[in-house]
Amino acid sequence: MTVIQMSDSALLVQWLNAAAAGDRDAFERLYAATRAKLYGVVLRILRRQDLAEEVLQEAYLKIWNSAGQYDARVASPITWMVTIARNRAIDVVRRRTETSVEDESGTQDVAADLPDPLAAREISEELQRLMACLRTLQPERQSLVLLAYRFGLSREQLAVKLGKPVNTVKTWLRRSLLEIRECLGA
Amino acid sequence: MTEDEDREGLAAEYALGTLDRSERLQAQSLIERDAAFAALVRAWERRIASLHELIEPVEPPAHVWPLIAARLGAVAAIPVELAAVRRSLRRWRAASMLSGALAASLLLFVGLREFSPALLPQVLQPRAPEGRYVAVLQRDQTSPGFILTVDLRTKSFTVRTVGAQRQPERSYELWLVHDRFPQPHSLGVIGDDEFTTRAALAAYEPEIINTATYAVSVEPPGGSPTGVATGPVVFVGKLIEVLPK
Repeated sequence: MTVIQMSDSALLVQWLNAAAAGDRDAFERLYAATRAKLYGVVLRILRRQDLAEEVLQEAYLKIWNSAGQYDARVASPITWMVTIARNRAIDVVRRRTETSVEDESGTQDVAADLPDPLAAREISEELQRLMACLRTLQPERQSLVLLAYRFGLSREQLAVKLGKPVNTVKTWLRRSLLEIRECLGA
Repeated sequence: MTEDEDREGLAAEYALGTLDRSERLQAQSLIERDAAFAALVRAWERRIASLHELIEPVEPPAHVWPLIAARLGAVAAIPVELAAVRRSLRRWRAASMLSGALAASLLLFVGLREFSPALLPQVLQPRAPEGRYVAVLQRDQTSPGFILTVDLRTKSFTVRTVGAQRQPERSYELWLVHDRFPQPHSLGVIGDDEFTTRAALAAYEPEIINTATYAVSVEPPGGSPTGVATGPVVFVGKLIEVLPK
């Protein structure tokens, strides 16, 4: 499976810029290089292949239509693209009924799919800094943030997952996120 | 929490995705109305974005790409405009001794990334000067050379080199071609940097700027010595309006 390396970033930027000018071939190459990452992201949020395929299409259309607005000085190409895809996936999942994770048919075991943040892997300096800040939080709050990101869970769903009241989850989330911001210093 | 922290918290939860449906819609509406809030959201998205590296890639089915490709939308020359542009080009060709083979191979590209075809006739009409206009100067549909952005407010333009190769001992010169002028007007040589910005459109009315054809020819260093294009025209395009950022 292709993993996006840091050195590939320049290629992605080039393809994005070319796509902004209407270059479909470049856009197809961009798709080939990034599709598995984006699909992985949206599939875990939507938990259904048919929805994930539809959202993947919509994400790439949005990327195509707004490639001209991509600014390499502000974000790396893959994070820009993942953010677009993720936002779309959460739009869709929030529009559906607010069911708990367990009600979804074909749901994976949420806990089992959680990666070990400490596992040796090639991660960017950016993620290293973020993980270092996450680790300053209590474990339950770390889980909150990671579960929310990975599975696109709402406060209600997180509350069910953790067996806590929704307001507690809201407070924990906000405090944790503000502490992360403090820690990152940016 | 303070009001500032409330906004920050809302932006953070929006980026993370934990807001419920109605709050999410409210936040989206706020993003559109409130640029400062939108900036908070974008900052939060950037803060947490690297978490995607923890998510294992999954190959989507092969049938997805053709569905995307089919939906990339109208990327085509508009027949009505094509006729007008061809007339301009013929006139230009006569005036500047364009190479016949190259003139025949020029394809016009009008990007419709942001608009549906139904909107296009309105877009091409003279607009209030607030607009930002873009032309993709292309050889054909897969060879963008330059992106020309025009700001009608300041009457300046920026040329961004995208695919055009630097040619040794040659300069690229930008021309404005319009029915109203017997000859193309030079907008100057495109510099070696990625971006060239110039106020050279100050003398032109918005209507001219809007409806002109823009072209790039290959000239001796420093541009054409004669005031008309002496070398082959390699990239051509017309302006369309893009939505403001």
